[in-house]
Amino acid sequence: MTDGGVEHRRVKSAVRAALFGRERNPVRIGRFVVLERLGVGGMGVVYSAYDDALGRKVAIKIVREDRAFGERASERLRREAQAVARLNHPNVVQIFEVGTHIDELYVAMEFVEGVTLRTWAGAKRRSWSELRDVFVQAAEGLAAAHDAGLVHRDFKPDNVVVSSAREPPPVKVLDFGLATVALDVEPEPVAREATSPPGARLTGTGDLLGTPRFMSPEQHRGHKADARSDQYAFCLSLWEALFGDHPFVNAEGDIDLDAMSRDRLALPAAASALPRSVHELLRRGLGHDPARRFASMHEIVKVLRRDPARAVRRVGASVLGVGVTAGAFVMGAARVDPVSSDRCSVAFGRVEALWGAPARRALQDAVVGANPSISVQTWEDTTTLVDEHLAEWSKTYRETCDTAGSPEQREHSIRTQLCLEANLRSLEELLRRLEHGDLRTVHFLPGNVRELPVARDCVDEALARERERREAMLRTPLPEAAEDRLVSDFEVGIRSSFGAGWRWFGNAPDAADRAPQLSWAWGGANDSSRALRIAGEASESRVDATWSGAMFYPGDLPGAPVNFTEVAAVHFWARGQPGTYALALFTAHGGGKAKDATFELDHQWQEYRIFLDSIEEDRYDLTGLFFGTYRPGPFELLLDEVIVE
Amino acid sequence: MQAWCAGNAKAGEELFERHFDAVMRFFRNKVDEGLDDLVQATFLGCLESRDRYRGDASFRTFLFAVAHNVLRNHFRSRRKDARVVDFSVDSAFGLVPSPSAVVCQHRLGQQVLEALRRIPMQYQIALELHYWEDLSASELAAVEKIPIGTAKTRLKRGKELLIEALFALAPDVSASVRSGDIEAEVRALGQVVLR
Repeated sequence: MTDGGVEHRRVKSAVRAALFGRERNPVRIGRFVVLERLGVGGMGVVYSAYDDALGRKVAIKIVREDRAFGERASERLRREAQAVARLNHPNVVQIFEVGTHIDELYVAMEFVEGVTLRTWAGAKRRSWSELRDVFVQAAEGLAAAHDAGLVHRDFKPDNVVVSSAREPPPVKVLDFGLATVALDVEPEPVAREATSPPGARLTGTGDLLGTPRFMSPEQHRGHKADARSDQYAFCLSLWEALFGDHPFVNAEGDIDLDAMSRDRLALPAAASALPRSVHELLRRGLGHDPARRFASMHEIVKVLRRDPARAVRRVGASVLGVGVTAGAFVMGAARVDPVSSDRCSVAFGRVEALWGAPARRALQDAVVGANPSISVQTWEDTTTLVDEHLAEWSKTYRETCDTAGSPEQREHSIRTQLCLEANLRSLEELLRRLEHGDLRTVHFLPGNVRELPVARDCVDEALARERERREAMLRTPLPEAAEDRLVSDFEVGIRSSFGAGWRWFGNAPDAADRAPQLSWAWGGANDSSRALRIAGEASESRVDATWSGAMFYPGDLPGAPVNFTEVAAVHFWARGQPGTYALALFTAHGGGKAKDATFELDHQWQEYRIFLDSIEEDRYDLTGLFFGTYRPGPFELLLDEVIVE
Repeated sequence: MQAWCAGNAKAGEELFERHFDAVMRFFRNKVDEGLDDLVQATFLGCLESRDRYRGDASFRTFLFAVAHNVLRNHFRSRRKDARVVDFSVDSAFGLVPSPSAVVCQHRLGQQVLEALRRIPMQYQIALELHYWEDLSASELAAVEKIPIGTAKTRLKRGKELLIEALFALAPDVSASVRSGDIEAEVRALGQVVLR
């Protein structure tokens, strides 16, 4: 019999007690009796346990030690935890004991009944004063730790517990120094910068160890974190709680280190409802140069406490709500260039940059020059359509620029602006694809311009409500942070490719509920239930179902190989026949019952021909899908053949 | 077994001691919660369905068949929509989209654990029983009540699917390993899941 780990022994003990009616040997970690497993995270497993010496409940974290980091790291971790254990502050989760239990390091700490700040902030709309009360406590906790010479190094909303004990909720900061000591590989800064292009390590979120979302620029560069890095992380967390997004992400949703280093912080429109001191706090705390941040967390505490009781609090809260909602859905698109504080002139600047005479000429050279097959007529039609599109867009946007009006009108304007800015991004994405010579985009000119989300949809109240409902759904938290990146790629791809926008989502009745049926089709390749949900919606709501298959071209999904079965399943799904065809197809592929055989390419091909014959009208499209996705090689060339047919 | 049925608690405990690890391994990489209940239900299930234990198959085969049913019922009861749980298409990950509850200390191992959770359940079961419990194709056929040819195909196809899933999850890791390495890795994980 194996002398297994804690979980193994805990289950064994519990089941034995249940089956045979007596608990012979309760599982212990150190002097603590293990009660139940609370969860598992990047750092390790957390149990609740009972300290019978002192008669209280504790939380025990078994810290996962990666072999790669070895003994030195675990020794440092131990020292760090012991240092935190000496700290006693109401806003810091108390550490009681650090020890080793059968080769595993454990940290016993205060048991706090509550939720993480992330969950708390996402549970409902929080007013500024609610947020402030929570953040000021977290800041006090950090300040106390800094005074004791400790650095958190991984401050984020997930490392703050908002206790459910009473109102206002006590707040405690968790996991001081723990995560990063375990992970800190002490890289030589120069070497890291030399070997990886900017941002490269940020995309590797397949990594199970953590998320760089709340890292300061100096940490991104591989430098050691200090108290000022915690300030940065604190301000990023505050930003996220306020606006629902990250201030420095590029169009792809990656953290943009260049933007970080330019010190141009663009406060979203929703920020106008916040005290000016908070604007300053964010600007300074998110400054690129650590030396120019605050002297200490105490100053941040002071700023937060100084909040004047503004008469417009009610308005503030409601506008804030919009900011949080919209921030999540536009994924950085709504960021305003800070050079100008005037949102409208910025928006029109974007249009000019996108479709001003020089930009247009450059694009024409890129597209027509690289694709002789494009006729003059096609290009002219395209430019006419873009002109019309932008004319309507500009007219609609201009109407929102009048800042006078009631708070309700103002809120409506902001909502419309965010929607329009997202729309503009669809066009930007389409043109960017053209510019990069994406043949699929080129081939479908000018029709794909016509498919762009139209401005008038942004002022339609019913559609706006529908959008909000969908955004709320898309914000459903993912089980694993590592999936975030893949999914946001996917979302960007879907929403922007072929100029798709919210129109796709406009008339899909609860497609989300049916998307799980797709999950097995995608499960192997994509591992993201949220992606599937979006996929389901997208294909469901497309009027012209033939597009949905093409949409799943693997190029849109970095790192996700898609084989033709899955594409076909999605396709059939889009045709409103998900069960029949897709299941049949899968069964044919060794999904089990009907034909439990391993298929060779030839067999697949034959099976596929049968399918093709049985669905006459789709022949051309399916052939394209088949070739494009199943055979390795450039999709475009094969698509050419198909189109010529 | 017979002794336990006859009310001999000591025999029951002995059976429990002997087979606990295997039952634990069976559920460990497939569910994220309720492990205690599943393990307990399996042992109780053995007791309840003892009439069906004909003594001609090994006890282990019987045990895993019960565990299999327990697992299916678990997912069925948790499921919110009306769709049936089908182990030939549903994967552990598809049913419960969270990372493996098992933590492996090195990256390839962890990725293999995740990959196992992403192939349809029947293949995950087949591979885990084969590599972790040393079940042969014919024993597997007895557990799953399928023809032996099907069991063989299932193992073969399972390996292929696992490698595909691994490639999809971690192209960088899998590019550098051979299939033999992956088999060895799967085998080694039999110990890891007991931690």
